[in-house]
Amino acid sequence: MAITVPANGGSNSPELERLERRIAQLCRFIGRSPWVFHINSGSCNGCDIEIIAALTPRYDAERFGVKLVGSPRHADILLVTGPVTNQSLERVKLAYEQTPEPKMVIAVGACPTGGGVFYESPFTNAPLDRVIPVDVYVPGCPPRPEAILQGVVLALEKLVEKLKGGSEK
Amino acid sequence: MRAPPLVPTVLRNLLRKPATNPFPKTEPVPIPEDFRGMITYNVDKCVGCRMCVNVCPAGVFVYLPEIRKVALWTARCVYCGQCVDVCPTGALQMSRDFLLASYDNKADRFIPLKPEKVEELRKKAEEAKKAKERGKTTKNTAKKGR
Repeated sequence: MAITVPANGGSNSPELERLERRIAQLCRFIGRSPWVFHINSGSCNGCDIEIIAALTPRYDAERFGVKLVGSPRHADILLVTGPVTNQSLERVKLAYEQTPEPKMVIAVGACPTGGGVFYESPFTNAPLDRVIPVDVYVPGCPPRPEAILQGVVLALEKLVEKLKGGSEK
Repeated sequence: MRAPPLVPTVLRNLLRKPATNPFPKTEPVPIPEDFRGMITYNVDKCVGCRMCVNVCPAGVFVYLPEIRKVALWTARCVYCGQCVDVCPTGALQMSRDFLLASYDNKADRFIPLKPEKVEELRKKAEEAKKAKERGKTTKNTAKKGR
C-alpha cells in the first residue's frame, strides 16, 4: 500500500521516518488487538447467538482485545455466518473489499464451511471460499463459544505471521 | 438501626473469583452429558446399508458401491445425530470433540475415510471377487468333467 506524504513534508526525511515508524507501531498494535466485524449472510441466528455468547463475561473474548465493531472499515477480522444467500452475496463481497489489509476471514458454522443443510440449494453460494478467500474454518451447528474463540486465536496467529512476513520484506 | 440488606451480597461478591473461564490456558467449560460432537466412523463395522445416506439432512455421506462403504465430509455435518440413531452396527458414533477450528475445510480430520484406505479396500474387494469367480469356474469345469 502506497503512503502519500504531504508535498511540503516530502523532502523532509525525518518526518517521513517518523511516519513510517508510526505505521509500523500501528501494524504491531493491530497484531495484538484485532477488531472484528460480523457479517450475517443469511444465517439462522444460531451462530450469531454463539458469537454474542463468546463476548459474555463467561467466555470473554475481549481478553484478547477482540471487539465487535459496526463497520468493516474498522475491522481486521471478518466473522461470516450463514450460507451466503444470493441476496447477501454482493454485500459479503462489498464488506470484504471495504476491510483494510491485512485482514482475516473466519467462516463460523457448518453453512459457510461446507454448505450445511443448504448444500444443494440453488439460492445459496456455500461454501464461502467460492466467494471470498477464507483463512479459518470453524465447523459446528452452531459451534460452541470456545470453538469460535479457538478460531479467533488461530486467525490471530496467522495475522501475526502475515505482519512479520510483511515487515521482513 | 438495621444494616442494609445488600451488604452481605456485596461482601460475598467482593471476595468471589471472576466468572470468566480463561479458556486457552485452562480446560473449556464442561460440556453436557449427551453432547453431540464430531462423528467418528469405524470402517470395519460398516456393512453398507445406506441408512445414513438416506437420513442425513446435510449430505455428509456418499455411498461407494464398489466397496460397500460410505465416504464422509464432516465439515458439512449439522450434528443432528440421526445417522448414529439409525446405524444398525454402531459404526457411526458421536464423539465429544468440539474444538474443530482449522485453516482448511478439507483437512484430514474432516474426512474419516481416507482415499488411500478406499483404494486398499477396493483392491481387497476385487481380489475377493476374482477368487470367488475362480472358485465358481473351477466348480463348473469339475461338474462338466463329470
